[in-house]
Amino acid sequence: MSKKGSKLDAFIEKVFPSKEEIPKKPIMKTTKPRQVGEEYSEYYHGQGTQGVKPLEGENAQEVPKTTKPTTPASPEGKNIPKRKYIKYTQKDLTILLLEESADTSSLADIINNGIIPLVKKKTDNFFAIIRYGEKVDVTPISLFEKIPEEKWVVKSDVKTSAVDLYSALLSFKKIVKKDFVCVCTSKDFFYDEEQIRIANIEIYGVGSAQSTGDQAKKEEATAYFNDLLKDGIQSKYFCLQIEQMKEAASFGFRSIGCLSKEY
Amino acid sequence: MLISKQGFGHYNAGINNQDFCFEENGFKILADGCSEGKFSEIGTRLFMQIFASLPDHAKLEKFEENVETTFQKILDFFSSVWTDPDRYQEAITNNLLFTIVACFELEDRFVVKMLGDGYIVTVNRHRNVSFLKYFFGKCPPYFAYHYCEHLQDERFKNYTFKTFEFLKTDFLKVGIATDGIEPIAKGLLKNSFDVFLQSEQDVVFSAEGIILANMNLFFDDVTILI
Repeated sequence: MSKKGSKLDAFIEKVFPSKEEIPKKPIMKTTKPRQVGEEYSEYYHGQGTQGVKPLEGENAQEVPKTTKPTTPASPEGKNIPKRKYIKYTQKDLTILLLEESADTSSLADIINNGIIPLVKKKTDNFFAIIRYGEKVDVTPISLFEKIPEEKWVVKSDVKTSAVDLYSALLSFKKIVKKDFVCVCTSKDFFYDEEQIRIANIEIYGVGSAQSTGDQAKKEEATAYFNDLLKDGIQSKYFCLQIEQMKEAASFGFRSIGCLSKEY
Repeated sequence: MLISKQGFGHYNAGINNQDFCFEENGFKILADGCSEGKFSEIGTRLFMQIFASLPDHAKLEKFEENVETTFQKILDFFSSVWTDPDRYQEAITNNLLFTIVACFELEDRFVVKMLGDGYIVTVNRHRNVSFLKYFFGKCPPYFAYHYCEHLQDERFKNYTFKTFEFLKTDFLKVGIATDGIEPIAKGLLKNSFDVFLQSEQDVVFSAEGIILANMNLFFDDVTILI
């Protein structure tokens, strides 16, 4: 039996305070649904806009200016921030490096039916395509739209043998950026905004691993591409002939295979 | 670095490690036994023992000749044991179907000789690791086909060693491996194994530890020489 005013009572009082002592928390008012294009203030999780008491007198100019917009004062005189709900998601990016030359044209069937479906089957990923022959054609990352079907197909009527692989490797600068984050309006009812981060990048290359570019460009392209691959990017290259595999290795591709099974 | 580990699939099925390899003074050679062969592990070990006993076994110019001499010695032994032609042919297919991959380090380049399925592992001058997969379908070429009589395809008799050269200006290291390293090549170990392949020091113990810790990924026997 505990007496009133004992240590136990004091402990219980401390842990479970009586209803009168529980401090009242300000009730967060629900905001009305925003219209498209309507301006609204930002509120980041864990970073409420604190009211800063302005200094007076000589130090008045030293008041730090906040970059974040603040909400107008509520009738009670307190700043009630409006939350901005952000959905963070991660996606993988697949980049296809496709050679357009007479060599690849002769194996168009194998590439179109064997390699391309292998790349396209990852339907949840973002895609980008770099096609290179005499010129380099970069199809940028398709965020939500589908890449046109003709960009995926290797044509069987290409007769040129000039291929500029070095420029194609350098064109990765347009696509691969460190900490790539895409910000877009969320389609989700609950969230205002969606931030998509590219978590993993995979590169699939198909071709002869040869280039008709000059030596200086080769040095630049090789150095850039090797540095790029050191960031944990997975890369696969499908050569057309066995003899071409060591060229692909010099560019730093990780997994290298060959379409030809002839011995 | 020399690693040879039994695959998890072989462990479960009660099959021995069918790979065998050795390394000396810049010369590396491995033999990857065909899983279909009943006693491939016997063949690989027998081949390596006899091959290593030849006087100029580490010489590039004499490599093909040495392989042929080794096979001839094994077959002489087989013919003395199995006089019946059918049993003799059966002994060849049970024991001698294996891939042979050899790597010679010369002054200015690496030369790899390959007959069968396998991997060449390279570290280029930017220290990126590449896995070159040489895969020739369901019927890979084996040297023992030269001595088989009842072959489905006569082309099998014409298989010879393929030669690949890697200049030292482009590549820091060149190694060889069996097709059991596919999980590493595919990046299933999140590239954690690359450190050991790039390293100049002897890190066999740590590298083996990584393989053993992820043993369930490796179905086939794993052999790496780099």
